[in-house]
Amino acid sequence: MEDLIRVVIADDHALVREGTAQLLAKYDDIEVVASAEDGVSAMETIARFEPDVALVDIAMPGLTGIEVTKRATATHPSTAILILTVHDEAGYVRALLEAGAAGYLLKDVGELDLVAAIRAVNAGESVLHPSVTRTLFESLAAGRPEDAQPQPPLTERELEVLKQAARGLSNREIAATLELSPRTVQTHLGHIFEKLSVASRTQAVILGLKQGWLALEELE
Amino acid sequence: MTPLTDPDPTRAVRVRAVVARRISEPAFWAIQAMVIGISVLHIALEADWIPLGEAASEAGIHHLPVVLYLVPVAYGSLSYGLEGGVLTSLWAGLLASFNVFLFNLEDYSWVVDLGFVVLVVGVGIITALPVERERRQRHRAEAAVRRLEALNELAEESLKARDPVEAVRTVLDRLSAILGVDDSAFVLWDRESEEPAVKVSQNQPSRIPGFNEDSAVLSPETLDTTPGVDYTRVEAGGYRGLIAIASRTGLADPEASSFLAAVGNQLATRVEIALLIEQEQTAWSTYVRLVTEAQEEERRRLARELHDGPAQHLAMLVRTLQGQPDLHGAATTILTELRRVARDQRPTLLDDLGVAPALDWLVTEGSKRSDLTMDLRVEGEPTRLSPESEVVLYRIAQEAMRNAEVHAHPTHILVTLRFLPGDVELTVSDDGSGFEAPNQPGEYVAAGRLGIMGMYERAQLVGGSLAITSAPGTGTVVVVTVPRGPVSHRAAIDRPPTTS
Repeated sequence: MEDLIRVVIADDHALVREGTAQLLAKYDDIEVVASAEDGVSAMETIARFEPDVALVDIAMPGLTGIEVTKRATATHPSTAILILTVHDEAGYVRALLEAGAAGYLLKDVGELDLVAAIRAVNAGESVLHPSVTRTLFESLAAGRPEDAQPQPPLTERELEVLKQAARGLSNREIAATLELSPRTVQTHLGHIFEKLSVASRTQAVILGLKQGWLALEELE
Repeated sequence: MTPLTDPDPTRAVRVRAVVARRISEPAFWAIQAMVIGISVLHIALEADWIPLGEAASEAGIHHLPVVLYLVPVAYGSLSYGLEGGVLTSLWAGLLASFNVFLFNLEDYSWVVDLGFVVLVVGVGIITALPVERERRQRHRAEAAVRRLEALNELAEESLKARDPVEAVRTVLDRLSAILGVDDSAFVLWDRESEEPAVKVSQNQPSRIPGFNEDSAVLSPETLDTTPGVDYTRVEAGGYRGLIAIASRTGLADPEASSFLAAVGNQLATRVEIALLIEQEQTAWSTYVRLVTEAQEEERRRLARELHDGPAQHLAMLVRTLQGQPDLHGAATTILTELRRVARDQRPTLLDDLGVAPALDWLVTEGSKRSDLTMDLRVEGEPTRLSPESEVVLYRIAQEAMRNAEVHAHPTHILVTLRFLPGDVELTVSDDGSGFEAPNQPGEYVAAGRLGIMGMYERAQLVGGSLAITSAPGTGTVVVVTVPRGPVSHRAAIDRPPTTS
């Protein structure tokens, strides 16, 4: 048996907390260890249980999901924050990814997608709900700054890796697509993070879109 | 600086000015020519240079020039009043006496001649007295007319001013110039609160005693004892106050007081009206603010409730309908619609993340919904503003974009949000048909374009300003500037200490 993924659910709607917990109970590798009904108790629960994954709603009384994400990623970096919300606006997606969320899902996500997302963020990958990916990229492409650098400070290979990462592929999938070893992909990503001064692949992708190095069409 | 002991520095100047004026007038030289001409004729007759018949001599024809002196004397009186009559008759008398002593000392006819001279001087004075009186009256009447004109001008200029302080400043500047004083000040107290409603001095700091200190020091009692200062009490409606002038060289003009009173009372009435209008405007904008706030709060609450209640249930429903494509699709559509309705009320983004992400969403949605392209450009580092300012910027952008889309049929709308050091500037520009933008925002109401008027109102609520530039065929640019700092709702009432 693989390691158990310990999950905390933070949402002010009992319906969502219970529904999600019920759904996850069917999976042996996932255990919901606690739930919280507002932002402040979400922070306390994360501190107390140190879960692998925290499912966090945005609109919560006390502290919003955005604040919880900022604080939790700073104080408990081992907990991956997976946002579960009804808001699909790009502004929220950007703000939360910048705050350090590992994933962003809408609450109407299918059961299998939710479970897959929990497993993915637990493995250190980024997950975006398919419908928010598009609005995020549209928004990034529209709000390109005047001083955008036309040429990325990356090698051709690194740019290829970044493009594949932007499509939401995992390291293993990128390696398969580009016919590289997963270790090489990891090395490329490390160089990319360093050159762009970012901490995660999501931030690298956002920067790439903002600067216009990645085109929306290439991500389909 | 005690003006009473100071010699009047203007006296020498005034005398010089009078002399300069006199010698430039033909009447003055005509009088001189007559007096000298008559004197020459007189001497000629007395010295017998002109041969006269015995009969003429017997008839006393040589006395005739003395009588002729009456002509320039009367002329001098009529032209220059007492001063002219007396000076001319003395001058003529001097020349005539010279003649008398030169030729007529041996017989007693000099007595007759001297009598004539006295007569000439007497006639000069008697003619001049009523003329002088009449002249003085005329001068006073002319001065009164000039003052009345000045008063009318002042009234007109004060009406052009945008606010009471500016009106007072304009009038004080003109007043000081008309009366030739160094400083003037105007204070109006609220009768009930005893607080100064308006307090303006022409100079900073003021030369009016007590003005620069606490307003209680500035009182009639203080001013009464100060030389070189004149003041008058004024009142209008619920206000009382005073207007004062000060001059280092003393106040020479005896008419100044009555003029000061006329100006002061007129100004008090003007300021009272302006203050009343301002109070009305403040009350109105308070009402508009409260209504707007209530409306925004209602929209915010509705959006939150839709998100918190139905949207959550629907999302859970969609999740459970995964295996049934038809129902899943229908439920997803309802959820999407529900989110749209909630966001149209008020995007939660605005409250959670601020105006830049909210506008980003507005522009992205707008591009998707219509054929035209919309772009957002954010300059500077976006920060959070006061909730009121964020709503104002968002709603104005929304209204400007909707106006452009509905009325101007553009191909492109550009929204620019600039985070400047002191304030935030939002620009919405389109390449549409444009329109004849009126000079005054109020004209939009007359034209039935209440949406645009609403944008002006909203900008003012947070101490911002709005400008619309447009002309047929050139597109439209809406620029709104909102201060970054905290906004006091009393901003409209509190006046800056000095305005230029």
